[in-house]
Amino acid sequence: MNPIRAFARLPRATRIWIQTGIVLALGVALAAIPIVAPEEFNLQRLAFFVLWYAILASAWNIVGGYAGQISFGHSAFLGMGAYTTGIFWYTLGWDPLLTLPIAGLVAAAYSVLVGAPTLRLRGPYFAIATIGVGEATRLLAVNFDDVFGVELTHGVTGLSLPAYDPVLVHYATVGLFVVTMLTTIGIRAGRFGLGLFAINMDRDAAETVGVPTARLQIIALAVSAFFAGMAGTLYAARQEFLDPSTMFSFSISIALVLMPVVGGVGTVWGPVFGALLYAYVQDQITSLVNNPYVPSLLYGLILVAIVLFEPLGVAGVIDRVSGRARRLLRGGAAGGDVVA
Amino acid sequence: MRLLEALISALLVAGLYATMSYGLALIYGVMKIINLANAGSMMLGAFTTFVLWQSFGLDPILSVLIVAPLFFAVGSVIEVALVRRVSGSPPIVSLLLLFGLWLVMQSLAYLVFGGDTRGIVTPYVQSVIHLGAIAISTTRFLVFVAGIIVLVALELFLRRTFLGRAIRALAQDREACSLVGIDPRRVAMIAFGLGTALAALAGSLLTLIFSFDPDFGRVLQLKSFTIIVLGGLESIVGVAAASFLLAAAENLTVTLSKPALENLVSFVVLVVVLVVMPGGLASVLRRRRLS
Repeated sequence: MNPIRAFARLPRATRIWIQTGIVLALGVALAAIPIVAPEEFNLQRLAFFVLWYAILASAWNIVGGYAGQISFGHSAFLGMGAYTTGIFWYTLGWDPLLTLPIAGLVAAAYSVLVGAPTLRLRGPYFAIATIGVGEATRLLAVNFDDVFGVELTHGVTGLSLPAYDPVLVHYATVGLFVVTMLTTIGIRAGRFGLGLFAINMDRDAAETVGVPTARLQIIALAVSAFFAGMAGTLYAARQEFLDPSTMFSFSISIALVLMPVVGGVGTVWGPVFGALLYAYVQDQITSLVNNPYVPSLLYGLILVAIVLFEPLGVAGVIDRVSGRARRLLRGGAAGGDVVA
Repeated sequence: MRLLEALISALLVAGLYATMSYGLALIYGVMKIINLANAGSMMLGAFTTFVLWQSFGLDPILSVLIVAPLFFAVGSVIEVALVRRVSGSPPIVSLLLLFGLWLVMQSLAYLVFGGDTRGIVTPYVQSVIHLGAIAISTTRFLVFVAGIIVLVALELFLRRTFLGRAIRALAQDREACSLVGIDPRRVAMIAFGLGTALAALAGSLLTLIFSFDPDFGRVLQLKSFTIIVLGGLESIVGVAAASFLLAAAENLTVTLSKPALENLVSFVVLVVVLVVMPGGLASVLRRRRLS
């Protein structure tokens, strides 16, 4: 039996409960890492980045996958959140984890500023505007102090933040991962998600039946940026250092497109698969090749190949492979047609 | 005086901006897709020019004669091999495809040429043309003239030849084109080739004015898009006017504020235009005329 198709055939409430159960079980297991293996710092670091990527990829997926509006500049929202936390922590001495909601809200407000004019229009206006938003925000962070005459972002030198307990950050990361997953599961199963999918499939038809297309897309973007901004807080607390060229880097934006697309764009678990793969490849590839452009070339080729051959990514591959396996099994059980 | 000089300098850069943006507008008009690989073509055009200059001492302006046909071929192959396969899919598919392609182009350039910033130094780089009290850099002037020649030639091609008219017809009504026997696939291939060639040509010309590295197309990509949103997709005049406006806004920002903020301008202009006049300059003019 094909597990994905079988799962899709279950009643909606059952599907939500099963996925919620999986998320909560994962959360408990992951939260136990610092307790079970307190000395395994490399494992803890890897766990942080896998979860962090999973949060970001799932957040991207809300606007990119569900609403079908690709953002090529999600690092802007991530960086906005990180800097919000960094500034509150550095100048006012607030506990970084307490600034999580503030960072999320600032990033969400910023995303509406970008999304409101571009998502109202048809056509790829949003996608193109996002190519500039990362770079524009980086320039803003670099020049903010000079232009406005205050010391907030510290320009290119970046913010060196105080030390913080990585175990606390780990718990916060697991917590945010659980909340993010529950949110995407809820959106996917609910009315809001249905509206987004309707827009994605046929905007005219959606509008005809009364879906407020522009508003739903802007809300989707704000929710997405909210989680991306909070992921920024986690980064600030974990790395204890922020600088514009890392936080607003194009390579993070590329990674955020890549992970959901590789895993399965528009699916709940695709971005998580993608994050796992990406974190693993990133971890391994630095020891294999010294040149950072080899992976980047690989990622470009993967994107092209996926778009041409398997638009659903890993989820599509699993679907196809398990379908084929089932057909083989069934053929074997009937003792009938031989596959040459 | 400084203001006048800034405006003239903006005008000279505008020729270049118009060249690089028109390729994007051409492809969008015919195929309704945004060519995100435009930036990659521009960058590769610049590096091809650099290689020709370094190995054979070919002047960047002359290298256009090699770069443009070469990238016309490259663009046609890209259209046939990749873009054609996703025609008819939602826009997100072609965006991702061309984004991936751009990533491939950029990484290849990094692997072959490294990440150093390059520049081409021509014998006339320092020379200046004097117009009364105003001094104009020769390279900028040459680039401007080259850009204008290309745009005029393109406009003549689009208006006077059968193929050019077919391209414009396809941008207006795809089905009617099929009815009168125009092959949309062949025209799409040629339009994509032309757009790519224009981008690469702009890249060649850019080498005379700016230094470049494999990442340099990204900011220009946004500028091109801002220009075609502002100028509208129909007219070369609109694109030219929008190029000038953007260049002037950038120049004033650099003169009056910080040079580092130059790349912020196109983003701000884009957002403001989308809020205030989503139809671009053309729609504002049309409204004026009607009322």
